[in-house]
Amino acid sequence: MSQDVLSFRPVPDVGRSSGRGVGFLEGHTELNAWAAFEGLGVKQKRDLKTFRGEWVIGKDKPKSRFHGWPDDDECDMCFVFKAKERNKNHRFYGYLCNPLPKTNSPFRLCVLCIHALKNERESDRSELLRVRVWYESATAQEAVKEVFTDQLTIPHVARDSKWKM
Amino acid sequence: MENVTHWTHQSTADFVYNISSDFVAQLETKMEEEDISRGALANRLSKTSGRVSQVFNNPGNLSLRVIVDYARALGMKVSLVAYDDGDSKNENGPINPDVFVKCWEKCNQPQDLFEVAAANSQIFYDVNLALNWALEEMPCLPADPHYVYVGAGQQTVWNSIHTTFEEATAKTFLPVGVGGPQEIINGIPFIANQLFTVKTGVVYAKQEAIGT
Repeated sequence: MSQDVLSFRPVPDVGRSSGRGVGFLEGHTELNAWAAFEGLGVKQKRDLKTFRGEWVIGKDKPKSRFHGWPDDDECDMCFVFKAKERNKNHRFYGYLCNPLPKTNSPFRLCVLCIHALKNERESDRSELLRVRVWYESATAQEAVKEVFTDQLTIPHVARDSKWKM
Repeated sequence: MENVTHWTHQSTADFVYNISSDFVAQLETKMEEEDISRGALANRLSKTSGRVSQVFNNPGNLSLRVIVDYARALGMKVSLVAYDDGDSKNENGPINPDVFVKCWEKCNQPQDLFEVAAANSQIFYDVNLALNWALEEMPCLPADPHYVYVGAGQQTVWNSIHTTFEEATAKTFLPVGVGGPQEIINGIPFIANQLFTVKTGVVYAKQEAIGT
């Protein structure tokens, strides 16, 4: 897994906030979330975009649209967005991380990895554990860092600043 | 990161779907919080569960009557709000209704414009009261222009001088004993998002102050 060339695809078209961001991890056959999203119908795409936008601006409810597993010791980094299509229940699984610990420590990024169709009410635990593997992958972390550079910059002082240095 | 416009940028249908879905999210959240099933809502509306699910699963063509009926059935109300956020080309998408709701709640749920004005002046007045108290009573607090130290109970410390309401409310309210000086005024535990009495008035504490 670590030898694959992975990339992270941010999806800023769902809205922006200083607190959260969302995107897709690609570059491995198991990482099918982006391809599955692209294959959705118009209605399901609209749903997913709306739900991701709601989460990005700071909402944590309703759970019928997205949720994490904060009380699960093994998979507390996992997150899911949901969409319905007639008899199909789409699930887009990913993990939460902070790619900006130096410059924006509260920031949370949702890295979507795996798509699955669910018929049962509960999520398949094996999918959460697969997401956890990607969460721990150094290659995946590098792919995210390619997009989110976490560098502190020296404050710029305007030449006409009224404050004397 | 590349600069991309919001997905509702070019299509009115997309914009309508987004705001309709945001509205349904408010209903779903209320139902989750109060454990109301779709079947129970259908009963309240004298409709079938199938019709309710249809509205929830595909909210793109909601009429105003349906919107009001569903909200009222859950004990809620609806307002249509037009606003100018300086984004006339809609490059950033609509503002989520929860943003408006939270702002309204932070102002103590004013029912008219007089109460809005009163809420603003009350916070400004309280901040200045707190500032005067801080200067007199606790000059030892570290001066940090980004924070206000909030002690539960009767006393709140404003540690920097601010001359406008905008300046005052742009600061983060930091609870004393959590991230500020290790001291709890009056020994009363701090709870964020609670109204804090400041001598004769109230000051709001931001929820994000918790744990900082």
